[in-house]
Formats: sequence, C-alpha cells, structure tokens
Amino acid sequence: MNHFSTYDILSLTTKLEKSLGDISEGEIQMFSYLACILSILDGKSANTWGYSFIKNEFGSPYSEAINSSLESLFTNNSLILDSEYYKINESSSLKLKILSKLGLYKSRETYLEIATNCIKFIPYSSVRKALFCEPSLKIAIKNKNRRLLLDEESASIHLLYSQFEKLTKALAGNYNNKVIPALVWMSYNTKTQLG
Amino acid sequence: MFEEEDEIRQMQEIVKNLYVARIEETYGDEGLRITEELTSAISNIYVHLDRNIFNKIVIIKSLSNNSILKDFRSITRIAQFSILSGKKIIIEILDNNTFNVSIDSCENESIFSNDAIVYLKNETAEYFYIKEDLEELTKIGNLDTYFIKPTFKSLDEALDNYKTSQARTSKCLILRKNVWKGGISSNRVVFKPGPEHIMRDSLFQFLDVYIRGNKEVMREQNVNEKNPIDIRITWNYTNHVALIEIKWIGLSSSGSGYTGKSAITRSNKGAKQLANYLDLFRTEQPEKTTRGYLVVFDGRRNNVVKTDTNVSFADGFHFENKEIVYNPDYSHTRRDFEKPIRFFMEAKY
Repeated sequence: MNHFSTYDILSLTTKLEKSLGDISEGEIQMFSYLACILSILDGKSANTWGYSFIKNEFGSPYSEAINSSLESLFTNNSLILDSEYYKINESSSLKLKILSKLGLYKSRETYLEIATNCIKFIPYSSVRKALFCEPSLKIAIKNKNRRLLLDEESASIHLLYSQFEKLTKALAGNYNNKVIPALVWMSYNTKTQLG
Repeated sequence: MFEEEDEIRQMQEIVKNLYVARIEETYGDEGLRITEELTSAISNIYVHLDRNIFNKIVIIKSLSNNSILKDFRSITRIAQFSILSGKKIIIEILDNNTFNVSIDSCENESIFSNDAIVYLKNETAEYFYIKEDLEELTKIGNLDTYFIKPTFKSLDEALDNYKTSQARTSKCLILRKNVWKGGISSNRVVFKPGPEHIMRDSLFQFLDVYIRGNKEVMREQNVNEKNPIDIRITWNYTNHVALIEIKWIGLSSSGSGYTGKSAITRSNKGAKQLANYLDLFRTEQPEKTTRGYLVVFDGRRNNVVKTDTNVSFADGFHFENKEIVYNPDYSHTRRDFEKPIRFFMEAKY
C-alpha cells in the first residue's frame, strides 16, 4: 500500500467531511490530482508526489494507488462507507493528527489543504470544471486510450511548468496564501474570472 | 515572447479582480483565514436561509474576538434560519457555531468593514467590503451565489428537489424572471412564447451546482450528428450517462400551447423522441449505461386565454393532480427509460 496515497485519503476525507459531509472515491481522485498539480504550480517536480495518475476510460484523472489504498482503508475499518460515500472513523482521525506532524507529509498537507480550500471561495462545480481544463488532462482527453498524466517525459507537463513560471511572474511574490495562485490558475484555464 | 507577456498580463488582470487577493492585500493572512470561516458559514447558512426573501443579506465575521452587532437576537441552531423573513438581514458569525442576527435594522453595513470581513448580497450581485470599497464577485453564469453547497447524491434526488423547491413556485430566478408573461411580478398564468430553453437553463444550472460527485452537466448535446438532447449528464468515474428531454405544456402568450388533449399528445411525443434518442445514443456509444428522463414543465390552467393575467384558485390548480397518461409507457417497456416527471408550476395568488 502506498503510504502517500493512504495519507492523502485520510487527509482529504477529514477536510471534505467538514464542507461536504462525506466524500466519494471520485472526489478523492479529483482532489488528490488537484493537490498534485498545485504542488507542481508551486515549483515541485511531478515525480516527487509519490504516486502517479492516468486518464481513465471516462476521461478523468485516476490513481491506482488511491484506489488500492482506499480499499485497504475500508477493509481495515479506517473508513466508513455509506452508499458510495466515505467518512473517517475516530481512530483514523487520531492517526492522521500524528502523521500530519511528520516532516514526510508536511509539504503535501499544504497542497491538500489548498485544493480543498478552493471550494470555500468559488463554487465546487467551477473547481471541477477548471481542473478538467488543465493542459495535461485536456490533451490526454483527446486521446481515446488510458494515458499517464503529469508524466515528466511528456510535452504536456512542460505546459504546466510553463504556466507555473508565468504565474510566478504575474504574482511577483505579492501573496502569502497559496490559494490565490490556485484560484488565478483556475480562472486562467477556464478563461473565466472566478471570484 | 509577446505571447508569454500577454499571458502574464491576463493572469495579472485576473488577480486584480480576485476578491480573495483584495482581502489578503487589505486584511492580511489573518483576514483571509477569517474569510475562509466566513464563506464556509455562508454556504451552511444558505442551505437554510431563503435568499429570495431578503433584498439585502449581510454576513460578517469579526477580525477580533469581540462581537460587533449591537442590536441582535441570538440563533443557536442553523436550521432556525429557514423561518426568518424581512427585507434586510445582518448575520454575525460567532466562534461557537452560533449567530447574532439583526433584521431590518437601519445600520449601514459599511461601518463594520474596519473591524470585520463583510459579505453583502443584494438582488443583483454579491460583494465583499474591502474597507469602504465594495468588491463585486464576477458572476458565474446565472448563479445567484458563489456559496452553494452541492447537496444531492443522485440525479433522482436532485430532480425531486427541483420539482418542489424550484419549479413549483418558480422560485428559481431564471424561471421567475423569464418564463412567465409579465415577468417577475406576474401571476404566473401564461408562459412567454417558446419557454422551453429557459426551463432547460434553469434545470441545467440547478443540476450543475447541486449534484454531488464527479459529473459533467451539459446543455443541447448532440446524441448523434443531427439530434440534440436538452441536457446530458456524464459521470466521470462510471460509464453512466443521463439524457434529459424537456417539454412544456400550458398556454403561451403567442396563443400557441398545449392544454387538453394536445398536452397529452405533446408529452407522449416527448417520450417517443426520448426513446429514439436513447436508441441512437446506444448505437453511437454502446459502452455507456444510459438512462433517459422525460421532464414536463406543466403550466396548464383551466379556462384561460392568452391575454389573461389572473386565474381563479380553482382554475389555477385544476391540473395539479392530473397526471399525463403515456401510451406506450416506455418506463414499463424499456429498462433505460425512467418514469416521466411532471413539474406542476403554480400560479401566484
């Protein structure tokens, strides 16, 4: 079991439970992908995220690591499932509190936090639409086959790195909270002012 | 090079108009943290508060530990917001999940903006106060607010809610403003000519923002090269697709319409059309599991003509419980055809 994807599921479930009440596997896949992209926009390499994503047969970002960690967490009762939506149990919440203090997870916690905070500032449906407009996924959707996303060898990842450089220049270090570049990036990709 | 400069300029323009950036510039990191608490609370309040009742909604959260509203009543359970009414409401969010509320007070909300993050919603737009200036949130489509909580886990649940909460009394602003002859102040007796696309837009917007999960809601999507379905919903992590065909029955101010037998014929034609779309779609995309929904907006009134602006109570509700008989009933003969849904739309009294 990939420990990064396991951590991300626990963290995302806890955060989204507060705003949405519970969380589906699709939502975990979507927000973990968004968090990974936000780490790239913050200057990290896609390779350092700890697990990879593909574009699945339905044209959506999907991580096998997330899927298998989710199954394990459900099997060992760390998550409670109710009609396809998950909630975290008390002992897993405590476990998460301890894990989140470890240096290993600290930086990804920032991106998981920003990804879920976006829906506090703009509508959930706009966050989803913006994610599906990001260059790597947009290019992959045109291809019918399953395809690796955010692949360091592909040309599309360089479009993201280039967006990151422009974003850095545009914001000129004027803002501390990383939700601001995230929202600007989403507006830019959808060609719609969000906020 | 020029292209890159242009893209940077576009990003700078976005950040210039971004309310979250304005708040951080003015109130700092702590201001943004408080805004996050404020916006989360707004989404929760809007699950209960009827936004259409108030001309002005002001929601504030203090930048310090001191509460700001002077003349207020306390609300300890969020569900209590559902019974409030008036013209103007000011709500202060407190730390312990309680609220101070003032209704129809004369206080100008701008006085709070030095000590609190202040959100304002009026009939036309949403704003945040940045000190004494109002920063307007850019409208997204026809959405009346940014702070909607996606509530429904299934399409059936969402359609059922739309039926009672939006269509029944034309609560959705798109319907209320645009679908009835006489607009927002009308008694909802006859439709404007060709109301179908307005009904589609209203339902589209509702489904787009209120259904949970990963789905794409799209309008006027071609089933094949020639045939557009009104709304198509595609789920991103399953092979499920929903096709929604919309029809209206009742009378329009142009004199055309569907009452009496023609309403039944019209609805049955809609069912036939949807059945054809489902067949075409299955041919084009056999790997998808598709369900078809026929939605009929029913504005029928008894004894009205196209120029009427009022209707008696008895005539207005004459068709309330008169269900359409479908022959053939595809919901019985086909596995991909859901039971047709009729949204009865009340007149105003």
